[in-house]
Amino acid sequence: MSEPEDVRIGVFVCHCGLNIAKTVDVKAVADFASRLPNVVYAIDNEFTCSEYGQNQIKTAIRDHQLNRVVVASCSPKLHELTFRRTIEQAGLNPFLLEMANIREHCSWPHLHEPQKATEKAKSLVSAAVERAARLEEIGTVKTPVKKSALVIGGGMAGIQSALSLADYGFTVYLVEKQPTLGGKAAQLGRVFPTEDCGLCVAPQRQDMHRRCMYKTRILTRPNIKVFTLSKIKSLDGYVGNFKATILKEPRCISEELCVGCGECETVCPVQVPNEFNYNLDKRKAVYLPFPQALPHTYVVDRKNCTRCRKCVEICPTKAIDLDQAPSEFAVEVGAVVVATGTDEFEPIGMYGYGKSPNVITQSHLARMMDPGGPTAGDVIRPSDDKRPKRIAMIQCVGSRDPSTHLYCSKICCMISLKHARSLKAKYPDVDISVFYKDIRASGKNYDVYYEDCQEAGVKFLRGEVEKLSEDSGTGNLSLHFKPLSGSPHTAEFDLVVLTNALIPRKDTEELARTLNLSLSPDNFFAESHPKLAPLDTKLDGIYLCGGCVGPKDIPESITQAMAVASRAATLLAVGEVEIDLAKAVVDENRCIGCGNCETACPYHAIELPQTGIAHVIEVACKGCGVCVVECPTMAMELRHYKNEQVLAQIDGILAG
Amino acid sequence: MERQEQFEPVIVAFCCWWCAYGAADLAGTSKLEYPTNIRIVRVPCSGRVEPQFILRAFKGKADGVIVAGCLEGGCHYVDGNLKAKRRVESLKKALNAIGLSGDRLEFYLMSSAMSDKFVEAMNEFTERIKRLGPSPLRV
Repeated sequence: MSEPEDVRIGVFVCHCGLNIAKTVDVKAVADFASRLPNVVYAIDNEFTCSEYGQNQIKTAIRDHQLNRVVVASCSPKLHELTFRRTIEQAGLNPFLLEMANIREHCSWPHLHEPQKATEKAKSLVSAAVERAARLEEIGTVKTPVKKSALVIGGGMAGIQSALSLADYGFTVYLVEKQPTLGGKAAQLGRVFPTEDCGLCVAPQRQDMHRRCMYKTRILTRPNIKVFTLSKIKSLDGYVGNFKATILKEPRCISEELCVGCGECETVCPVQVPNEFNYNLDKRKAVYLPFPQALPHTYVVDRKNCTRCRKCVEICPTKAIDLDQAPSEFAVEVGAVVVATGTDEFEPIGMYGYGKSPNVITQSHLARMMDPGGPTAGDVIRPSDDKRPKRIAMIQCVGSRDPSTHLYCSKICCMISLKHARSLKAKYPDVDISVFYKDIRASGKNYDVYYEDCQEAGVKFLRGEVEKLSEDSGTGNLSLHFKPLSGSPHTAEFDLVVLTNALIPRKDTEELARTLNLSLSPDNFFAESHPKLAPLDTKLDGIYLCGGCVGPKDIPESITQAMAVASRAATLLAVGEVEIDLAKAVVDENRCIGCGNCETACPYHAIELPQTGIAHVIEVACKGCGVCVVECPTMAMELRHYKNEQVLAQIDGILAG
Repeated sequence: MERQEQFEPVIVAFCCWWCAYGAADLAGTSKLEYPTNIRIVRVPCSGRVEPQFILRAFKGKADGVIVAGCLEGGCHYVDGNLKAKRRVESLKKALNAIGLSGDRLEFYLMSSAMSDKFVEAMNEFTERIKRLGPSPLRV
C-alpha cells in the first residue's frame, strides 16, 4: 500500500466527563496517538463536542496546518456531523474527519476492564489514524426537484395526503388499485371516536365545513390526477426525479362517458357474491362497488363477465367497451408517498370460521350494522336470518399470538367496543360477551366506549376461549372458556364475532420490490426510524403513511397523511437537493463492461451504455458498495470507503 | 490448557452502519459487557465487505473475523446483507480448504435494536476462537 504524502493529522481524545476517562486512560491514548505516523498534534480534552472543544480543533487546524482530523470520542452516529461542520468551518473538507468510537464501543461495554479497554482504545485510534491518512476530499452536487408527487393508495391516508399536497400547490398523481377510492373506510359505516361516516375528511382552506370524501372535488381538482384500477409497474430515478410507470387495468367503461344511470346493471344476467358487503348479498358482473363510489363510474368485472353484450347495447352513452386494453402512463415526480393500508387477517380454521356460518368477523358485522348496507342496518344470523340474542366477541384473533402474528393490531378493541355499544343501543335486550386478553382503549375520547359498554351491561370476560362447537340443529355455538382466574365453563351463543387482526397487504412484498423499500420483520413497510423519522423510508424522497407501516385507526392515519404531505412538501418546495458524492466511482481504464455492477446495484444507479464502460448515476447511488465487491477488475470504488482506506484501517487495528 | 486460558484473541468485526454498528452502540449505551477482544470496523453495508478485507485481517494476525449485517428483509440497501452472507459462506469453505478453519469466520444478522443479540454473538464467537486457539498465521 502506498504511503500518503503531506498528511498532517490532529488527534483529539475526549474524556466525555468520566464516561470515557473513568475507564480508558485518555492521556495514555493521546500520548500513544502522538507517536503514530503522520500525527503532528494530539491532545485529550474534557468534552470535544463542546464549544470549547470544537474551538480547540479549529485552532489546532490553523496553528498546526492540520489536513486530517481524528476525534476519539462517542459514536459517529452522535457527533460525526458536528465535527464535520467544525472542520469545515476551519476550512477543511468535511470528509477529512475520522472518528474512533471509544465510548459506545470501548469504555462503556468494558467498564470493568480499564487496562484492556485502554489497549483497545489505542487500537481503535491507530485504525482511525491509518484511515484518516488516506481520506480524500468529497464534493457535493445539487439536483433540481420535480414539483409533483405520486401517492400510492386511495384509502383515507392516500386521499388525505393527495389533498394536502394539492393544497400546497403541487401536482399529485393518486394511484388506486380498486375501481373506487375510499379503501377500507368505505366499508366501516360509523367510526370511532366521532360516530360519523368513515369517509369524512378534513375541511379545506377557508371553507371550514366538514366534508365527505365525495365533496372534496378530488376528481375535479386541476392538480390531482386519479388513476383507479391501477398499480405501479416500475419506479426509476432518485430523490426529486422519479419516473413511475402506472399500469391501468381496463374498466371497460369510459370514465368520461358513463353517467352512472345503472341501465347496464339492470340487464346484466350474471350474479356473483358482493365482496364489498363480505358476500352478504350479490352484485352483477357490471356494477358500481357501492352507492357513493368515486369515481361514480360503473365497472365491468372481467373475470365473471360472459360477454353477452346486453350492457353494451343498452348503454345510452355508448360508454362500454368490453375489449378495452390495459393502458400505461408515465409520470415524473419529485416525491412518492406510499399509503397502501392493510389487509384483514382471514381466520380460516380458527373458532370454526369458514365452517360454522354463524361465526363471522367484525367487518362482516360492520356491513350489517351500516344503515346503507345489505341488511339496512339489521343484524341477522347468516344461518337463519334471525336476530341473534346472545352475541360473543372473541378478541385478538390473529393478534398477539405466536402462531399467527405477534403484534397487537391496535384498533380491534375499539372496533369491538364500538360495535358492542351500538348493538346495545339498538337492541337493549341483546346479551353481549367480550372474551379478551387486555382491553386497549387508549386514545383520546376512547375509554368512554369501554365505560359505556360496562354501564350498558356488556360482559367482559378475561381469559382464553379454548374450544368452539356448533349445534348442527340450531346453528348455535358453544364456547368453552377458561378464565384467567376461576374455573372453566361453557356458554351458548347465537352469533360469534371474531375480532381479527390487521395484516400487511398481500402485495406489500411486490410493491416493496418495485420501489426498492425494506420491510419490517412483521412485513409491514419499514420506516427509516420508528421514533425519529416515522414517515421516511431508507430512500430519500419516498415516504410512508397510514396502515402500510402498521395497524392504525383513522385519526392516526389522517394525522400521518397530513404530516407526510408536509414531509414531502419540504423536499418539493425547496426545489433542489444537495447530495454528497460519497458514492461509487468507476475507473474507466479498468472497466471491462461485464455488467456485474449493474446487476448488483439495488437502485438501478449503474448504467452500461454503448461505450461498454459502466456509468454511475451519482444522485441515485446510495453508497452501499455492493458493486465494488462484484467488480472483477477492481474498476469500481466507493468514495470514502475505498479499498485502500478500509485496508489501512484493518492494518491499523491489528498493529502493535 | 492453562496456556489457552491466557490466550487473548484479536477479533475484527465488520459491522454495517445501519444495523450491527447501531446494535453495538446500543450495547455500549446499555452498559452490556462483552470481551475487549472485539474490534469493530465500520462499513456502510455488510455487502461492502470484500473477501480481501477478511483475508487482510487474517494476514494481519487476527484470530477471528466477524461480518455482521441487518436482519433478513431489514437491509438498508435492500439485500446487501444476503450477498454478504453468501460470500461469507463460500469464504468459510475456502478457509477450511486452506487449513485456516472456516470457524474463524462468522456472519451474524441483527437489527440496530438487538444489543442483546450483538453481545450474545460477540461472547459466543470469542469463546469459540479461544477454544480454537491462536490463528495458524500467528504462531
